[in-house]
Amino acid sequence: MSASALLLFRHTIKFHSIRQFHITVRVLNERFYTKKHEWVQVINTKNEVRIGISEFAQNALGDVVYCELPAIGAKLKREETFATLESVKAVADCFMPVDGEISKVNENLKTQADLINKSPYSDGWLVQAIVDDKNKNDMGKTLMNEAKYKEFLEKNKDAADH
Amino acid sequence: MQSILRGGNRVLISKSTNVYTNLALERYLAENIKHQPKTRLLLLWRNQPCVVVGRYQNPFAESDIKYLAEKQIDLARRYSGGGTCYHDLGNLNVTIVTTREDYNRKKNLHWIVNTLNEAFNLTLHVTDRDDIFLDTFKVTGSASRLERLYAYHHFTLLINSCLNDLRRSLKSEDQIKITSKATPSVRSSVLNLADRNNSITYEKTIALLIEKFFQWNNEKNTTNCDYIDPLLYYEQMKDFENELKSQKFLYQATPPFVYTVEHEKQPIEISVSNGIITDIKGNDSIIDKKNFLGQLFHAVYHNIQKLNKT
Repeated sequence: MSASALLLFRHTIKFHSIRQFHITVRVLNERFYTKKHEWVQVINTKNEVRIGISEFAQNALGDVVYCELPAIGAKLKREETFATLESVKAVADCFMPVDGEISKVNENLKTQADLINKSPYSDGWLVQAIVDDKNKNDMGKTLMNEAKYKEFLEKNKDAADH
Repeated sequence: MQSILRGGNRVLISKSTNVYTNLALERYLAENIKHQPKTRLLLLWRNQPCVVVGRYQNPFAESDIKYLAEKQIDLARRYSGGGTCYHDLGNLNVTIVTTREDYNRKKNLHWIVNTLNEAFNLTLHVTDRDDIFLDTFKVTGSASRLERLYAYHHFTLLINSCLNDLRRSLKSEDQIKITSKATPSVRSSVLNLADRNNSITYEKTIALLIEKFFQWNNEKNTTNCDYIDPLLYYEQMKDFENELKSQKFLYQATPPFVYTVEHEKQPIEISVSNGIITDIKGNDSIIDKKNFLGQLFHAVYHNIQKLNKT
């Protein structure tokens, strides 16, 4: 390999790794989970979080046919019901992972409730809420991160299915 | 009085045949019993003729409201999901309440199917949709509600219902006029268990389920079985019962829909949200919009039907 090619190669590697680092930070760092399989993720610097249900939950629930979402401005405490989902057979409540004030609901779900099944972490999000600093900073303590949640799922694999 | 809220493996049989009372009792027990892990509550009940729609269904699309009123058949919305069903004294309701962790519909259904098959020499089977079929005929569908701490799964068993009344009550002329995201029922051909084996009766089925329930749960104490009169608990249950009986829960809890009528060969689209008419599209010169806009759909339903005819 010539010196210039080597230089180029090294640069590519360097460039590549920097980019990957950025993606990791932005996408994977901040999703926390509850034991009831809701997830929450800080999405901006205005203390706004996005909330949805996990891949496991959507799979256990089956095809979601209808979803009832809260009013914008509703102030909800942790563990309070913020949404009710109806799948082909069951009605299931979803519970707030943190205290917060609902700032936005996913309007697309009103006509395409199945987005929750197709894309639980992205297009199938349920609501956005404004949380205070304490709730934001405590998420790592009160909730499970990706690794802990995986462990939790593994441990409860044999528990009742839906 | 407090004894009905005891946890553990138990069977309760409601003495009431009122659909609102029984749905309230079911919810009251589910919410207030101290559910212990690995135990189940079995609640058995039946109702006078009535139609019960799922939590997110549209009663106008699922039943013939006018016929029900004429025949004094009750109409109720339940808290669980799923489709519409017709109840009468030949249709047994089975509710199984557990902790949220122990919720398992397949286990419940396989228990019922195995118990009935063995005792009455039937060939019932459970489908992917958690329905129970006998050959190609449906004898029950499942519905459930999952809460934070508890879950209940309930289903009916057609023992000897009047199937003609069932079909007539669930026939809706409005179905084709309604566009919405509400949960539609999956309509199936139905069959009574007694039509296949005429020795099956409501009383025999109840006795069988009680006996086998304790075996299934390895429960040695088989005295945990009580007939209860919900009237004795009226005070505790009345909030649920009043909600279930209210026009608000029955009609206004319907997901938004559009009702289309044809008036002098012109389609008129009536949009309804939370039970209230929010918009009317169509020939403005003919309809007096202010008679309808902002009104409760079910309250002016009769007048909307008149539009359809002229």
